[in-house]
Parts: sequence; C-alpha cells; structure tokens
Amino acid sequence: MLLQQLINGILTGSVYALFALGFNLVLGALNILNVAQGAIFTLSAFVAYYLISVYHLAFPFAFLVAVLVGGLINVALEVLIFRPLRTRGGTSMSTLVASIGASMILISIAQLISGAQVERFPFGTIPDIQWNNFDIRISFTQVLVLSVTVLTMAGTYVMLNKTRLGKAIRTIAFSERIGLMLGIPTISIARWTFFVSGALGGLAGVLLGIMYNSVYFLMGEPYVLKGFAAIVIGGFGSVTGVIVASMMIGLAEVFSTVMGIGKFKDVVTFGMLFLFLLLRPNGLFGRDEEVRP
Amino acid sequence: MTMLDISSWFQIYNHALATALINSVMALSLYFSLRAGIFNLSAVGFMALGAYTSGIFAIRLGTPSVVGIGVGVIISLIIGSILVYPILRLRGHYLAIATLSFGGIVQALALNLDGLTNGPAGLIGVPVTVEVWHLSIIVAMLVYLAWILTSSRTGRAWDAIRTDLSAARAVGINVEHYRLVSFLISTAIAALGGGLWAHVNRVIVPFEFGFPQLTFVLVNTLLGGISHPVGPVIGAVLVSTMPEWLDKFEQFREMIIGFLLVAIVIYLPNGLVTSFSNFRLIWTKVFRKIETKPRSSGNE
Repeated sequence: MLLQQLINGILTGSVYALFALGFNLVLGALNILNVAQGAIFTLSAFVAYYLISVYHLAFPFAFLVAVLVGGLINVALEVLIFRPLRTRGGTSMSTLVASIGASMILISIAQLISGAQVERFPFGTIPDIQWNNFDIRISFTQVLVLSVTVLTMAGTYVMLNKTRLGKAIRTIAFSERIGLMLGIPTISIARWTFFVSGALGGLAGVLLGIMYNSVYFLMGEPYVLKGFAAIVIGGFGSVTGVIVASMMIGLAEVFSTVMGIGKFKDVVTFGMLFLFLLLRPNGLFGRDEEVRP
Repeated sequence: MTMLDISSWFQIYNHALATALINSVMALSLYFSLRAGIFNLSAVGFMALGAYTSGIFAIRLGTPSVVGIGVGVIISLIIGSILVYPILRLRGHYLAIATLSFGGIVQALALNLDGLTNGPAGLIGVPVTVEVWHLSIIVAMLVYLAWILTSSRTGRAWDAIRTDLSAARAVGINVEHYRLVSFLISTAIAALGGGLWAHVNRVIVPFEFGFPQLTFVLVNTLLGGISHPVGPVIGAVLVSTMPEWLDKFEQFREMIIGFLLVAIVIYLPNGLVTSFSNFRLIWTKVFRKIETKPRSSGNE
C-alpha cells in the first residue's frame, strides 16, 4: 500500500517536473516568468485530443505534433510579445504582466474551441494493460508517462550541458551582453529556448491528459502554481533542483491524501513554498543570487 | 427623458455601476502597492478574505453589514501584518510568486473549509445592503486619500523607492517603513472591496477569486496608469462597462482583456492618464519651442 502511494507520488511529481522544467528554462535564461506556459500545456493537450478523436491519428504521431505545436506557440509569444517588450525596455514585472495577458488569450481560445467541456480520449488510445504484483497495480499508461519523463529529463540535461545550443543558453543565462560580445546570436537562441520550453510544457500537457484521461480548458491553471512552487523550492534556473522539488511536491500531495488531509494538499504545497521563501529563497540548488531588496 | 426613464435606466445599470465601482476600489488597492514599487499580487486573496468574512458574519451571525465589513478589514490587516515581514524581504519574481501563492492558499481554503464557506457552491443569500451611492462616496474618499498621501512626504518616499530602492535608502528614506505602510493600506482596501462586493453580489463563490479576477484588477490599474490616483478609477470604469458597449462580443471578453493587457504593457507602459499629460508636454514642446526635461519613468 505504501509502495503504491510512493509510485503515485513519483508519477505526479514527474509531470510537475516536466512542466516546471520548461518554466525554469525561460526563467533562468531570459529572466522571464512565462505564466502562459500553463495555457500552452492546455492547448497541446487539446491538439492531441482533436488529432486522435477527430482525425483518428495514431497516438505517437498526435503526441509529436502536439509537442511541436506547444513549442511553436511559445516561439510566437516570444516573437510577438516578449521581444518587442524587451527592445522597448520592459522590466521583469512588465514581462510578467504581458505573459498573464497572453495566457488569458490562449485559455479563452481553448475555451471557445472546446465549448468549456471536459473531453476524454477515445477508448483504446493507449493499450489498456495492467500488471498486478505484490499488491501493486501499475498500468501501461503509468509506465509510458514515467519513461517519457525520464527520457525527456535526461535529454534536457544533455542538451543543456553538452550541446552548442545548451552552452549558448547557459551563456545568455549568465549575461545576455556577454553572449552578444562572444558572437552568440542571442535572438535566435532566445527563440530556441522558448521552443524547448513550450515543447516541454506541451509534453507535460499531453501526458497529463492521458494519465487522468480528461482535457479541459482550465487544466493548466493549478499547474502554474505548482510550477512556481517547484522552481522556488528547487532554485531558479536549476534542472536538478526542479526535478527534486517536483518529486517532493508530488510525494507531499499523495501522502497528505494518505494522512486524510487530502482536501488541503494545495495548502500543504503552498505552505512549503512559503517556508522556502522565508528561510531559503534561493531554493535547494539555486545560484546564490541576491533576492533581498 | 422623463424622471421615470432616468430611474429605470439606473435600475437596469445598477449592478453594472456597482461592479465598476468595486473594481475601482480593487484597482486603487493595487495602486498603493505599485506606487511604492511592490508588485503585489495578493489583492485578490485579501478580497476573498474580506468577502468571506463579511458574508459569514451577515449570514451566520446576522450582524449589520458594517460590522462584517469592518471585521473583514481588521482580520486582513492582522494577517497582512504577519505576512508583510517575510514578503517584503523578497524582490522581483520572488515577491510576485509569494503574493500570488497567498491568493492560491486563500482560494484552496475557501474551496475546502466546507463548514465555514460552504465549499465550491459558495455562500448564498448575503443581504444586499450596499447601494451605488455608498460605493460612489467610498471611491471618492479613497481617491482623495490616495491623492493626499501621494502628494505628501509618504508619496514622495514611495516615488523614490519605486524609481531606485538603493538610492532611496542612501538618501536616508526609511524604505522598510514606507513599503510596509503601502502594503498594509493596499491590504485594507482590498479587504474593503471584498466586503462590499459580498453585499452587492448576494453570492460569494470561490472561483471568482482566481486568476481571471487578478488579471482583471491588473488590467484596470495598468490601463489607467499609476501616475495619478484617478487613473485606476478611469481604467476600472472603462473596462467594467465594456460588456455594456461590447455586448455582441460577450464571449470574447476575456480574450479582449488579454489583448488589452499585452497592448498596454508594450505600447502604453504608463497608462492612459500619463499619456494625456505627456500630450500637453509634447504640445508645449512643439508649439512653444520650450526646452523640457525628459520625463523619467521608473517602474521598479
């Protein structure tokens, strides 16, 4: 029983981690808190749903297209909103406000398309296989979610630390001016960062959609707040930190359900967030930047 | 137009007017925070706190509305003065996240403390005692208070802190004190707005205090701009009456608000009210050939 809950907690945590990773990438590299990530999460899940149920596409293809769409929407946001804003000298607060507006636009698009209904994937999208061993029940969906998450996280880690793109992103995160001096095309690197971040958000959206088998226009909203908690606890801009923090949040939620205070799991999460902000605002693995006024 | 027409017009638009005025109260609450350079997103959380307190007092205890609203403001001030110390030690994104998650906690509690708040169904049957003329007087008084404070020593300190915190500290302004005052005034006004809202709307539902409400408060304040206390009120009235003159686009309302928010931040970063005073400046510059100093516009 305890082991089963542990597995559930890790699964929940891994979806949080995927979502928060995309958040943290843009935040760490460009110092933009992109709230619209939650809307991209929702829209990607809808794209996957419509491709499967209306156009009868096989799940892997629909999954790929949805992830690409997530990335492209984020690039569009960068081109249309964030880049003009930064060239006009917007502060970090005005980019946050702009991303809140963008998120509002995208969510209302999702609402208009879906008519505010809860959609379910057609039966048989994912093979319905379950394994029962030692009182533990694991479904094929759960294995799929976990393996995709692990692969993506490993991929992101390698991308950031070993490839040219990753090195360029980390340079910009250090200082955009220095990146420019070194001849890094900062504008296109910023677009790539947004693409990867949006793709991660889209990935999380589709995985969550099939895990709980429900897609609706407000599904991203709680994840934005969980993502905030994960990046603060893990530390701004840290990949390892976000993964550890997301697992902590997932486990805390599952175990608060076990202890019978499941109704207040959001309060537990936000309480953890508040404690960290109070005692260690740089998070577990964050850079020691100055956060105090 | 006879007297009868005028009175029926007021009856039809009564609720819309009341909503516009309450949005003005909320926009003024955010005005006080932004004026001191605190990007405080907890206004909606304190609004929920005020609304639920006055609703619970009116329904469960049957006290007069003034008592419920007053207690709501006092409770919010107590909670605010506990939270203000950890929150104001943060800056930038950290402050935004902390205040936003406070709103999340309040909403989660409102959804789940069934015995007190009646859960997702919400509190129904709060007596409607607040009239439009009450609200008009309150908004006028708040604007007056904002104007007095803004043009006083406190207001100058806030402007200095907003423009450059370290420089303000260097010239000997007690930064912590003035930021605390701004945060607490903002808290009290938000709770007042919530309490009034409960007595206008008759129903309090937890979903009303979520993300959309926050965007609404933000767009109201930023459209008007924070360079003058009238700005937030103008913004709130313009945006709140929008459904009336855009009734064919009702389903696009949230999308329009989103577009507005993005457009304001990019093209009108100082809001409507400043652009009018800028217009006067350009006028004098072009036609009188007078050298004018460039206006500084610090946002943080």
